[in-house]
Amino acid sequence: MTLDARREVRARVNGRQTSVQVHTTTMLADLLRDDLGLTGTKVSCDMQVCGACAVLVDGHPVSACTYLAIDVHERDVVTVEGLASSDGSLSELQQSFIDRFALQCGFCTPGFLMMATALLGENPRPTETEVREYLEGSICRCSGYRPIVDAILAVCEGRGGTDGA
Amino acid sequence: MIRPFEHQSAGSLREALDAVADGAVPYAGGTELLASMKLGLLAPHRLVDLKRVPELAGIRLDGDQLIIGSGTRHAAAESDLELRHRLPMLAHVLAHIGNPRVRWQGTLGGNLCFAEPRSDLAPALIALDASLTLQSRNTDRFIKAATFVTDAFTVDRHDDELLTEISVDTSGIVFQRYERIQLMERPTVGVALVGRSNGWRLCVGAVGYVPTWHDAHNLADFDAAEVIAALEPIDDAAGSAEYKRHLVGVLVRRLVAAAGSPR
Repeated sequence: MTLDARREVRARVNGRQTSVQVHTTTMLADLLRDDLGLTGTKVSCDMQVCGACAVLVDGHPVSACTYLAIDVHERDVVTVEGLASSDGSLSELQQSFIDRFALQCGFCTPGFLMMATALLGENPRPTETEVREYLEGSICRCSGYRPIVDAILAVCEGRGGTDGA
Repeated sequence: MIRPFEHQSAGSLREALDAVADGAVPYAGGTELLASMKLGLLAPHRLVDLKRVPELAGIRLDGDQLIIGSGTRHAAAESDLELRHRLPMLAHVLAHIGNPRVRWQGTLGGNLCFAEPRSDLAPALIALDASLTLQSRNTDRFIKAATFVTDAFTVDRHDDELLTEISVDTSGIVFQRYERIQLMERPTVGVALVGRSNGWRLCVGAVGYVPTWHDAHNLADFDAAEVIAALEPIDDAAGSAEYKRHLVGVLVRRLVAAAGSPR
């Protein structure tokens, strides 16, 4: 074993089997952005606090800024580029963010979309309180959060209402 | 930029124990370790990944003992039906650690072993009088959660040991509740109160370097002034020592009142 050896990572990224050589010190965000060109994933605080780098690994949200790239070996990764269908049509959440003006500068938006996708995967009918709690580790400095929460709840309502929201 | 390191993924507990005996630093979720490495506070030469060690994952019931594998992620533990049913206070604490990403990355064992003072997990497990299993290649050691955390970021674990299991006796619990005040990413103050048929335990976390706890035969024996006097709170961005003492008094009185009122 050698220090900082390059290692092959084989992972499914947005549905495509991918193989990349990375250093042991490479973070997942850098693998996605630099090696795969998936620059939708943003890095802001770089300390797992702001949520801009949120992606899904095996369906669960993680902070790609503080997650070793080698740890996605044989895992399934979804980034914001993986939310739209192959024909280019946006996911319900993406469309709802547009419809409700849930973004301004847009830098945090990929992270919010990934967290919202994870939330609705775990809890398809969240209350407003549950939405806000789930987003406690996601920071937006433009919107004041109201339109983001509305956009997420609107998707739930479109699917048949929320519980007590 | 983090310092280069060797990386090994353990596929079994045996492999993991061999690796730590050989000097590797254990890691699982990496939420604390990788952050510390990025800040240049830690620079381990070799890491052993515990995420694929089957013996460390999962929750099981042995009689009334709930046994939690140290590699269980916070979110997985929180959604375990047996844990939620028997230890709702612990489920509540787990549901509020960090943020959902931290809860899906981080493990109970990692949280305990890193011993960040501003944590809710250690005080909750101390109040529940949890027992910990530490294994090395040659020995097994069983200690109480209350004696595990010895200082800030310091625990009673030898370099060649792994924390493998967290065990809680779920019998005879008549009251369990956690109250906390949190202003930023980590708690400012956390207080846990657990009542059993044979006595009570109260534990205060986050205000100083280590949690402090008090046992009492009767609920009425708890005195908020005594609890406050035993604290060594630190001034930090989450509040002054004086402010933290005040909050502890409020939360202790609130918990004792809740435990004493008819349910």
